Amino acid sequence: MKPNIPISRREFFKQLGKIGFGIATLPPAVVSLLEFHQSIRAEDKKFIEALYYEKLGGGKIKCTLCPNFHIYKPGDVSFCFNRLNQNGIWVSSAYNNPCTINIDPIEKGPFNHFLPGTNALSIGVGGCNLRCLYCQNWQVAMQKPERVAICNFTKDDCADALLKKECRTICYTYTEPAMYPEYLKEVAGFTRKKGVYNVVCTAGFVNPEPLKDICKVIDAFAVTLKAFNDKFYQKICGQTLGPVLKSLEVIKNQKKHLEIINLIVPSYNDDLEIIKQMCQWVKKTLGQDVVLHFGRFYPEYKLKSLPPTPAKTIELARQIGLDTGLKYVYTFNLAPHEGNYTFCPSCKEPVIKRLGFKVLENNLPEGICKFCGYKIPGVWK
Amino acid sequence: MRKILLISGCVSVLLISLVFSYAGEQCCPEKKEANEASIKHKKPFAIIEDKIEELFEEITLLNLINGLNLTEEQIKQIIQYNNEVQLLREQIEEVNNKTIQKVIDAFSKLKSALEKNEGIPKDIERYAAMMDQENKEIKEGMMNSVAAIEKELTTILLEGQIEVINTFEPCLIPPKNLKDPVRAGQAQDSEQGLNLLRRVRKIPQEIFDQDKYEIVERHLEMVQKHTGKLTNEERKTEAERLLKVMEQARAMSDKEFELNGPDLARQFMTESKKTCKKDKELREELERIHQTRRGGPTRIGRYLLNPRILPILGKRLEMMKNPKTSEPKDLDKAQPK
Repeated sequence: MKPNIPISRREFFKQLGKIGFGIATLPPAVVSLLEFHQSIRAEDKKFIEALYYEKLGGGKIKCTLCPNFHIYKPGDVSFCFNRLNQNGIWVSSAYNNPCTINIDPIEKGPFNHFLPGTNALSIGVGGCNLRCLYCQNWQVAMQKPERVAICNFTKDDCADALLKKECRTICYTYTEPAMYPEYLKEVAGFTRKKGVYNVVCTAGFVNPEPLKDICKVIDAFAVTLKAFNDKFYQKICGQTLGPVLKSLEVIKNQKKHLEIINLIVPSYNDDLEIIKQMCQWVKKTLGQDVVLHFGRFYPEYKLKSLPPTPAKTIELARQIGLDTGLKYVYTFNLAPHEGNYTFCPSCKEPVIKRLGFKVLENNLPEGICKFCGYKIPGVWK
Repeated sequence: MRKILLISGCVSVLLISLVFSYAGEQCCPEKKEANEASIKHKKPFAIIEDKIEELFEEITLLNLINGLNLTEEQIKQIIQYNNEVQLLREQIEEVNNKTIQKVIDAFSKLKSALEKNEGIPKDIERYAAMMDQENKEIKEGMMNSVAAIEKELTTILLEGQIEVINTFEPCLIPPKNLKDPVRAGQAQDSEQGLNLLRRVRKIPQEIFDQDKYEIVERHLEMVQKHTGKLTNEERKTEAERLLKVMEQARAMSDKEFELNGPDLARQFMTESKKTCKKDKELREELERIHQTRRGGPTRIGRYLLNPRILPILGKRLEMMKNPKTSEPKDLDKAQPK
């Protein structure tokens, strides 16, 4: 039997220090272990080499996909979560790894001038290069694709699903499709040859070159112009306004169908004067035929304490858009509402009546107003 | 459980009262007076029940109004049409007051004759039938006038608003499609039942074979909380259907399930609701028949020409005139993470 030796004060503090050190080093150890596990998983997933990057010395790379031009050392994961540096090779973890596959009405994009009343195969992949405090898809947008992926979904699977679900369109949405150009281009290029339309919902924070490449396989864009205010972009979305405006111009110059989305967050971007400036810029730079949507904010993510946007604010914004001379200004996340309808700019008749995403009546066969014959821009057949 | 019982109780009470009492009661001032008189003799519990019913109706109307996004102009017009209907009711009540005494007189004579059981004198029989017809015509006249106003009212509404009214169900808590509708670009459209099917897919076959009937049984119990007890036949059909959906979900590959899961979840939940809302469907059918036969108000009239909606719309108009303005937030204090 061991004698009961009392521990000295020095020994006691020594032991206490060891325990403290152990506790302090535990979290980094767990993190390293998780990362190691993840890197094994990453290799299992057969990620492909990413596009748009430059190799720097010492295994470092510079990502040229988005205007952040971040530099990453081996083992780093990109700010958008979609890419990682595997020993000096920049790989995409988004490839074939969607986190959401749904059959949605195309109006949910929102697209109001694109095959109204049809369904789209909507695909989302984890990750995003913005950090919007009111993100409604934060559960997947703030995650690495491989962590939230639901299945291995290849271009062939997409084509198969389109056929089974009788969809004519694939919509890349929910998160930031511009951050997975490898997957997007492959699926869109493949399905396009089969007569399928491909559309993208994006925040537009991407460099012009990758965007131009994306434009080659995409038929329409819904771009979220979050505010016409750089401070809002910096403080609420974690990025800047300039590149988004540039993207809008690129899409316009590439002659792609474009719909702009502006979600009005009460107290943050509901200044009607700034909304007016935005409408004027849209008209001057992109033309009065560009579709503009004003949407109602619902409390989400880190802005849960805010109330939903008052209907009146959305109505006023829409009116400003129309008064500015834009021909097609809509409201979304606010239904039933007159702003859900498409009105003919010539005879003022409602040519498409909607209840939210549902088309109730379509008097616009092939984009021609049934009442006066006016041609409305969009993709209609 | 108590909440569900309370809600379903209130729904039944409201629907029945809406269908049978609304037009009739408005047309019969004597009935109204009788009601008022009876209140004095009512027991406190009955008074409380009436108050609850009244509150429930007002809450229902508020939920509907909140879901319609009416414009200021539309509200003003609805108030105008509603006032017209109230005026019309008053006028008809005046006429009816005169007739009603004659009806009571005629029916009392007929009752006496029947009590004697010596055959009904022709003049009494004719007089009773005539007064009955006159009474009905007054009511029908009222219905037709209200229907004409309702037709005009319908023209100021958007098709979307009409659809919302036609599919609206009286409720305490607004349904998800009104309270928190699916938004543009939103990934998570949490289809009811989808999570349950996801869990069912993960159960190992051996355990599923053991537990599947229990899963079905639990689901049926949940359903019965809403509907009341199902018949044996209903339970059998429903159990077979649920088992089939679960087997289908389990047999699917991950890809297939992602594509078809929401449809299956809809089948799992909605079809159940269909089976279980049989009495509700019957009530709706009855409502439609009643409306066609008597030419009474449709849903639009019943809600928007209901006198109880007037103070609600008045307040809403006030709110629109003095909207709450939000203070601009200091963007410097908002920090992205």
